[in-house]
Amino acid sequence: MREELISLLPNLRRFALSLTGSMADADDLLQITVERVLSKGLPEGADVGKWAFRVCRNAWIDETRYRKIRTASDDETENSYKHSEDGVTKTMDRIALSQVMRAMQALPPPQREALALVAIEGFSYAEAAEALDVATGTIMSRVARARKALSGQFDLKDLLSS
Amino acid sequence: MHYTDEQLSAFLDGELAKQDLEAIEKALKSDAELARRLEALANVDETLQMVFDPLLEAPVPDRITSLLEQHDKTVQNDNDKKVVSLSEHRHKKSGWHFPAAIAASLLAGFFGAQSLNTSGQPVSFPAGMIATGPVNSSSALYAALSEVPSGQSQNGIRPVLSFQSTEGHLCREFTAQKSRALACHNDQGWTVISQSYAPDNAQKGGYATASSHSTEAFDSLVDSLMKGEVLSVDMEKTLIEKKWQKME
Repeated sequence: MREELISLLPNLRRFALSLTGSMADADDLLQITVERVLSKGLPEGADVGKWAFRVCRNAWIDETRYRKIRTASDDETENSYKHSEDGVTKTMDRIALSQVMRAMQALPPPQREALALVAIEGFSYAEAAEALDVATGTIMSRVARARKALSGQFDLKDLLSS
Repeated sequence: MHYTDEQLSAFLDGELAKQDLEAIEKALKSDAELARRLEALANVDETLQMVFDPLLEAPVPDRITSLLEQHDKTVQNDNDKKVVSLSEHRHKKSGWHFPAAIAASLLAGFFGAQSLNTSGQPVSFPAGMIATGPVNSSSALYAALSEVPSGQSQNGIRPVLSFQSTEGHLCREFTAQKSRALACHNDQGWTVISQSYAPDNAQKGGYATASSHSTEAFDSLVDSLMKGEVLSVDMEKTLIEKKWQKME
């Protein structure tokens, strides 16, 4: 389980960032997730991947409910992209990055988490439904509403030319 | 035929039944407005992936990968408890952060010319608390910090873990009486940088689950001073033999 969890860390971290919108918060959330998975273990027959995302999402709910997660500056989040040299960061300028983060943060949390799992992590509706403990149809409508909301806020061509 | 955003969205995700999927594919060939709506939704995914995918290539912070590595060691050494599990130690870690710059200046302050207590003499302090400042080289605390591996006790002093600080100093977190404290080593010897009074639970080897602000601040200080991971048992052993001279 440990090795599988290590290989999943980049994906979990990406999911955490899509939920929190800041790298510092994402890393705190990732740490809490790993600690919870390690301390509580894996339920019989559960898939580590799907389970870890569920733990991460629940930890995020707990954190935002009981503690006001601090809001990190955009700089902090942008810094985490310094390691990436694949041209994407060169094309997407700072404004575009923070614009996308802000648009994600503006989504209601249930839509945000559904969209993150399906559109970013590539989960099927059934997998996302299991991770979030809702019906498949709920995932379908949340993902659609999230996409619709975001499509009105940013357009790829606008971002690339900005 | 009008298709809803939900249907178009499910189309993008490959979640439609075969007949619905084929119907939309067919409609797209003749319906420019439908194609435009679909493209707008698809652009959202493309943008999100361009923003979030680079993160997969970025290194995950050591403090998180070390939780898994440390966990592994803890399982292996479960019988002799020579390694303290970082995940156990940090189980109450929260989002609270000790600013790195303040942590570094705290360390610099103790090691700089304006050290609070340069005499090296023990300072009087309430029972159960450890004084911050230079540690008397003939004291039991100095001996324990220099000689005792993490996880073992000597004269009631129990080093918990060792690490190298961001400033290059070798530091050890330890418990003594009712306190948790942090000491770092420089060419003058050991200096207690910070301490956190944690009544009752510290002696049992565990910490209070209801984290007080001060223990949280203490954890955060340790986290922000720590460069990389907690030193391994072997590394610590070597340092004890070399009397905590800095690593090259």
